[in-house]
Order: sequence, then C-alpha cells, then structure tokens
Amino acid sequence: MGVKIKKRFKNSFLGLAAWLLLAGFASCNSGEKQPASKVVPDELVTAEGKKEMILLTDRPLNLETPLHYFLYDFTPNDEFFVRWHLSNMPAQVGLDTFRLRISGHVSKPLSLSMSDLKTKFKTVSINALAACAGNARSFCDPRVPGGQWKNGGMGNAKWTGVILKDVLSMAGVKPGAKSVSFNGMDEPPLPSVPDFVKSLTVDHATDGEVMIAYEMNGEPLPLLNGFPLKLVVPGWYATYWVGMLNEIKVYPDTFKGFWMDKAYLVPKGVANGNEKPDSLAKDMTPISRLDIRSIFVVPEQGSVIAAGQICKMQGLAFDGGYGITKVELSTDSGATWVQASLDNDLGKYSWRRWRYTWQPASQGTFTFYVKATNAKGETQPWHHWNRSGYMRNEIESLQIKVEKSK
Amino acid sequence: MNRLKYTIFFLCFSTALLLYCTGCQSEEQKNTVAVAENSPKDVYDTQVKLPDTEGAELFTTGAEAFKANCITCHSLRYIQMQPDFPEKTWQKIVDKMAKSFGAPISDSTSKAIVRYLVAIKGKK
Repeated sequence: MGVKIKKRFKNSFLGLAAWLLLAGFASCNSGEKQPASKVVPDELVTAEGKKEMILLTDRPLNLETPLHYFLYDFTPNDEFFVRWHLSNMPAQVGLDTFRLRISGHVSKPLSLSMSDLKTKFKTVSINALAACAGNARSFCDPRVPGGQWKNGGMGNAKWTGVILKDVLSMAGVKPGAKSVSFNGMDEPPLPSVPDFVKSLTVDHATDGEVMIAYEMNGEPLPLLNGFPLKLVVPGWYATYWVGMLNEIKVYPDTFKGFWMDKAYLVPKGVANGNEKPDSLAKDMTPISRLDIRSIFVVPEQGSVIAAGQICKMQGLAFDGGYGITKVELSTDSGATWVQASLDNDLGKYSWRRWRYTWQPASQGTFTFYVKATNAKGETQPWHHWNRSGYMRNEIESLQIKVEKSK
Repeated sequence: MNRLKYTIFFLCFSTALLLYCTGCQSEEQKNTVAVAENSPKDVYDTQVKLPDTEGAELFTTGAEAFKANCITCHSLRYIQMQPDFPEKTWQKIVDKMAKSFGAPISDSTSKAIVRYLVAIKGKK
C-alpha cells in the first residue's frame, strides 16, 4: 500500500504515569474493573490526509480517533477513524477514469462517473454516526481477538451524496430481486483471500435512506475513509459502509459471501448480541443495527479534581435511529440515577451529546456510571460480552478522584 | 538473600543434627520432609540450566513460517496489538486464517506458527 505513515511514540512517560496512576486506583478499589486499554500507551501516527491518530495496525491500516476529538459534534475528517480489511488498496484514485458500476439483476446496467452522480441525481445530506462493529472491543472481559479499539472506532459526520434507491431505479431493478452487494476498490493480497463484499436486502437498499456519499462534512472523503464514494447505511454498523465503492450488483436471490456468511456474525435473537464464554450461541446472524450505547468524553478516566470544584462532565449517546430520549448517571452502582441534560438533536442517526455539572463536596474516589434510553424504551446492560467483541454497549464506568481543596 | 540461604542451610543442618541425635521420631520426620521439599530451590540455586536448543530452534522455525505465510496479508503489528491468549485461542485464529481467510498454510506450518505466536503473545 502506498499510503505514507509517520510513526512516533508519544507520551510514553505519560502513558506509564497513567498506568501507574490506574494501578494506584486499582489498589484503592480492589473491586473495580480497570479498562484494559489503559495498560498499553497509545502510539500516535500521522497518515496521509490525517493528523495524529492512534495506531491500531499499519497494514492493513486501522487508525483510532483520540477521545478528545469527540468534543466536536462532527468528527473532523482528518481525525475520522480508519478501518481497512484488505491491504491491497489503491494509494490514489483518478476521478477521470473512476466509474461506479451497477449490474446484475437490472434491466439497464450502469457505469456512472462522478460527474454523472453529481448532476443526474438529487443531492441529499444526512447526519449519521459511523460506528465500527468492534468499537470498544479492548474493554471486553475476557479479552477477545480482533482490532483492539477503545472508544475511538466511531465518528459522526454530515454525509452528502445521492440516494441509493435513485441510482437503482435508473438501473431498473428487475422484479424478484432479493439482495444487493457492494464492493470497493480494495482487493485481497492473495487470490485465495475473500474480497470484502457486503450486502443488504433489496428492501433495505431501496428504503430511501441508504445513500452513496461523495462528501463528508462538506469536503470530498479522505482517501483513507473511502474516497471517492462510500456507502452510508444510517443506523447500521460501519462494516456495511463500504469505502472506495465502485461495484454494486443486484441478485434475484440472497447474496452469498464470506464477509456476510462467516464474518461479522452475532448471536441471533439476543439483545445486544450477548453470549457467555462458557455457553456460546449456536444460532448466528449477520450484524445489523447499532444497539444503544453511551460513553464519557470529559473528564477522562482517572482524572483528579479538587473538592468543591465544579466539574463539567459530558459524553455521547447513540442508537440505531430510534432516538436518544434520556441519559442518566449514577455514583452508587445504579441504586439511584440522576438525569443528564441533552444537547440539540442533530438527527436520529447522529450521536447526541449529554452534559452534567457535578460539584463534589467531599474527598474520595467516585465511580460514575452512564446509561442511555431510547424512544423504543431500550437501555444498556450491566454486562456485555460476545466472542467477537461486537456491539459492545455495557454500561460504562468512569473513575474520578476528588482531593482536598487547596 | 545470602542471609536467607545461610538461615535455611542452618535450619536444615540443625534439623539433621537434631534427627541424628534424637533418632527418627514421627514428629521430626514431618519436619524433615518439609525442609527437604523447600531446600533445593533455595540452597542449590546455582544449578546449571541447559540451553533449550530445541525450543529456540522451534521459535526460529515459527518466526520464519510467520514471515513466509502471514505478513503477505498483514503486518506483525496485528499480533503485537493483541492481548496474550492461550495456545488454544491462537490455534483457533491460525485455523481461521487458513480455512476462512484463504491463507495457504499447511498443518505442520500451522503448528510452527502457533508455537511462535504463543512464544510472543501466549498466556500461561
């Protein structure tokens, strides 16, 4: 892959200090679970078109957004998380020759240029959260293999482009069509490795919401986020948001492929895709809609504040599109909850910011818990685990140490 | 540490002496056993360890197998970022790479790779 990456270790000492601090907290609160991710100091890298991001893996490239960028309602493009499955991806795409091809069970196969997409279809925009299926996997207990994301495997953006339904209409989907597949320009490094192809049912693909985006936050997509086109599936995990999209196929039956049939599966018919390590689910199904979740953004884990000081807490809550209606906090392990205030609603597929002002009167170590509820009445579980670390939405905790005021 | 060794040695010696003097009575016999169990690692800590040539060779073989079969598709960092896993988990992952992800790995190579992964990211 020709994408340049500059590496540097940042804050190794700070990382170590944070670890020691957490180790110290752990000894004070032996019953509390510590986030596993804090143990490894972050390695920050600068990839082309990106500012410093947390390096997960270099080939294929997977980069995480540092938590403090979540102070922005819309994640900056140059800090938006990067997730590739196949190392053989183009380092540049020429728009002169780029074509999006629509074929298969259609009456008129299409080959559309970027100019076609921008002039022959209605332009739409939507605010939507792209969240990696394995976001927060590193917090799983017991740990599971896979990309060891903390909370930065997601990002909120305003996506602009065309509605997939309009493009499929122009191609003329034939009667009896069942599924639609989406393939990008990234390719397997070996012929034996399955190409990354995802699919949706025809009904979902033509719901009028699924779109093909060419802009993200008012700018062309960064190459590492799928330039020039990305499928946007609002409310569904980002595994479906195929980047560098250049091939759409319609099928008269259900699409079969490794990345739908074998990978990205979760226990079927179980809330949040939960299962137990000693009794794994037998019936599995492709992952789909985001489950409800909330996180802390400020203060960060292990912060120290003075008694009497005003602590302005904030975080984010999101779900698969039903809409966040309530975010609550608890400092007594869930015996009582107080309600946080919610910022303006940026759209049902966007995340929603919550805020809470706290003024601790006394010293001590406080553990906050955050829990969101949506319009459907769904809320978060106290414990969450599955073998792949997908859909993690366990109620998150945050430790704050309050010291004597000076 | 030396003081501890001398203390233990002294205890062993004095127990032996005590046994020798008093004859083997059941209570002392218990003590003797306990001391004898503890003594080797403390008293004889200069015991020579032979280099594990077989293990080292297998590690090299595994590392070579990893280089030849895995990094075509992904860098070593894929392993380095993982938590430590037991051998069983690494075996499952290598099997998945071979059977599902199309990595052309033979059964014998798979074993060498697993051994290498356990050496660098194994959980006891």
